[in-house]
Amino acid sequence: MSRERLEELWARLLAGQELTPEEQRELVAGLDAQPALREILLDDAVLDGWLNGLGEAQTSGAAFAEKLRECRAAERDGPRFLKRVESRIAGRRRRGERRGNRPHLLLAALAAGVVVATGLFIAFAPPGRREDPARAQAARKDRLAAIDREREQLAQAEREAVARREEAAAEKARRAKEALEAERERIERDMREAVAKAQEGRPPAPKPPDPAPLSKPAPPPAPAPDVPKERTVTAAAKLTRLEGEAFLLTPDSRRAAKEGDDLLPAWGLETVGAASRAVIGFGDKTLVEVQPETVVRDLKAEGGKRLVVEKGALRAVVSRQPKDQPLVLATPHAEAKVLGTTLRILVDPDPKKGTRLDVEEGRVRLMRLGDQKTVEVLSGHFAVAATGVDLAATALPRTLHVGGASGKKAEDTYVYGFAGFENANFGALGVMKMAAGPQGACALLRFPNLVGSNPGQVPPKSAIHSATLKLHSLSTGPGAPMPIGVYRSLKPWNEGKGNNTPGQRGEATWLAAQKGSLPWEAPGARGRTDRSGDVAVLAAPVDGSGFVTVDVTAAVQAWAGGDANYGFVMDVGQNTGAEYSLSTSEDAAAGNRPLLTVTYTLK
Amino acid sequence: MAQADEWVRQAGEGSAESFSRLVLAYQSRVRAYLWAYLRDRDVVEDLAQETFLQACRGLSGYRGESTVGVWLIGIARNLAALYLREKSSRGAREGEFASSALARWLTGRVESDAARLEESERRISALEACIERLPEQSARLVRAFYFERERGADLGRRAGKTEGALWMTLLRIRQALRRCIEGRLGTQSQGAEA
Repeated sequence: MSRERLEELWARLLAGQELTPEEQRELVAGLDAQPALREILLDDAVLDGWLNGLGEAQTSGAAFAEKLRECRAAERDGPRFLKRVESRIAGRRRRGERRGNRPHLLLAALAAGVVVATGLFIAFAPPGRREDPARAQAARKDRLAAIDREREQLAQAEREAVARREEAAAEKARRAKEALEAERERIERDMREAVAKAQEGRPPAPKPPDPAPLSKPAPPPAPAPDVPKERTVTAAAKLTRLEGEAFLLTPDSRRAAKEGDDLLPAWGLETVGAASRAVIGFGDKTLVEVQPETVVRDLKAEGGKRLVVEKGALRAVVSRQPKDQPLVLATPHAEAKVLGTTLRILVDPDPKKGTRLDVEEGRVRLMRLGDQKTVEVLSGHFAVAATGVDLAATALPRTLHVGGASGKKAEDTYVYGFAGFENANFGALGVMKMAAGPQGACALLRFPNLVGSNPGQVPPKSAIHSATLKLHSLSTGPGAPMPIGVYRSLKPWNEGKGNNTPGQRGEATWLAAQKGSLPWEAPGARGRTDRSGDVAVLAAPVDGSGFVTVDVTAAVQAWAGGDANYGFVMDVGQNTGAEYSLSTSEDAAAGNRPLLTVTYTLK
Repeated sequence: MAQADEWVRQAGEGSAESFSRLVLAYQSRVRAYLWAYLRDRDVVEDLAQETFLQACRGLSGYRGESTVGVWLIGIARNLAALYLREKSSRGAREGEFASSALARWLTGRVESDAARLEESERRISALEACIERLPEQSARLVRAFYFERERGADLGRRAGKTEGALWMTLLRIRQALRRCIEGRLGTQSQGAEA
């Protein structure tokens, strides 16, 4: 499929135009088949989004700030907050607004959920589409997600009201939360019924919206007479996502888990198999991703969340917790107390390897159970609680991408020894070539400003864990080896602006690193003082997407250690008689441009 | 921006005025960032508000390790990632195959965006400058479509173009803006090197 056709469909999609199902399939299949074009068009989607956002911001910036001021004041003033919610609900009902026209207010969103929840939920679907079971189910799911957001806001309002000892406001917030819970139960029941009826081949009977009062919060739902009292046990969390196989660990059983299962207090979860993964979601949107072959037990949510990690690994994105009720992750070796952060915890049954805690954001206090020693682990650090290991926070490895689609372009060109081209410069071209022999070619590549103290640079003296260079091959097919040799350039060269035109003074050519001032010792940067011999990879295979990956850790380590960064000289390592071409940073597809990925830790 | 740090400090001490100044100064970048990944006005507005409210609750936790803009975009990014993860787990609606694929691809982007917050902020700032540098006709079209919310059909009629041609024109303008952004960032980094 042609690029023009894909661009046409894409432009219409971004403009919000309707595409036929065939056109949609055509577009998605086309972009799946052309990942480089997809990356370009995704960049375009991002830019389109920025323009939309800037447009919105310009026209409604002051109003947005005013609404936020209102929200903030409301958060600080519980009773008035709820009163405003109520009055907005009344206004909304009078105007009969539909979701498509809602004024994007947090308060309005809350209002929709607090009192007129079920009614609005039914009204969300445009009238002509209410009969579509799939859309109705999707609308129910959307409403459930909105309920979660609204409940979080109300919980915050309640906490603040309690802190200010405003019992009436706290009670109102509690009742509003209960109304949301009741609504959630109704929606979940409707969803189950819809699924059951769909399986029977019958559409679910339309359900009238529940009546909702206009100006005061709904009272707590009356208990249904046939509901046994055991149902009052509140789930501590929910299994919001499941891949592969997992089991619910209840106090008296181990049974297969499925997505959507409630996790009651004291229950646990076991993921089985290398492809298993599960996400446990708490009411405050804290998410715990249980990774493969992991066992967690003794889940608790009330009065502070707690989870015992018996073995394996998990990653958690923890919403801000009340100050006196941190989330506790307990392992056989340690306890981590979390007030709101993103972290990863890895538990090895071997006490000498112990528990490793990585903190991506926020800070976590880790206590080693053996000696009760603690350490505060800050953002970007990790610590290990294990026998015989110093309990200390250490910087996590960081990864930096330069070139490629990262937005930071490399400088690159090639020099060519064929008769008549020895003084030409090719800096403006989207290709760089390598060929063996006295009339060959070699490529020059440099990532300027790679080492430095600013963001986006490798700090001087860092320890380089790995550095890989990813190059897009334009000549060698997937699977074929590319006999590439990558060396550190020892001479400063200039990319130039030539387009196979005579090199200007200072530009790189076959004969000179800088024409007119700095010749190569041997033409094509092949002299001992032109390039170092410490980085050389021969016969690197081209992968299925057409890329060659070369390990250049030693070169980057040398630059981080203080050696001058004059980039790489790339030459063919053996004479196959062929010419090899690579994309440069002038390639229109950002994903094809040379990409350097460096993983390092600060020293 | 030392001024922004000062607003954060004062807002943390309860100054509503400083908080409003902070919102006014950064709302466009936060909303632009969220739009890129969420593409739904209602959701963007809700999460933009939530970004500032979360920032407000965590003002005392701001330690100046990144700029205020990067800090705010980091909060917005986390909210967007959570929202998209939750949404993607719900699957595609019937008849929204392409939108769903777009959302899936953008989810991949936002997930990998954590390490590039500063760059995102710089790119959005550069975009604002690049709009000013567009040729007059293109700038007028961008302003009319994105800022004044004129309908594509009306704009096309006025410009004597079909709607399809208008969408392609906007695509080309965005491509030019992208080149301009990269040019500006490249220039800045060269300047820093010098």
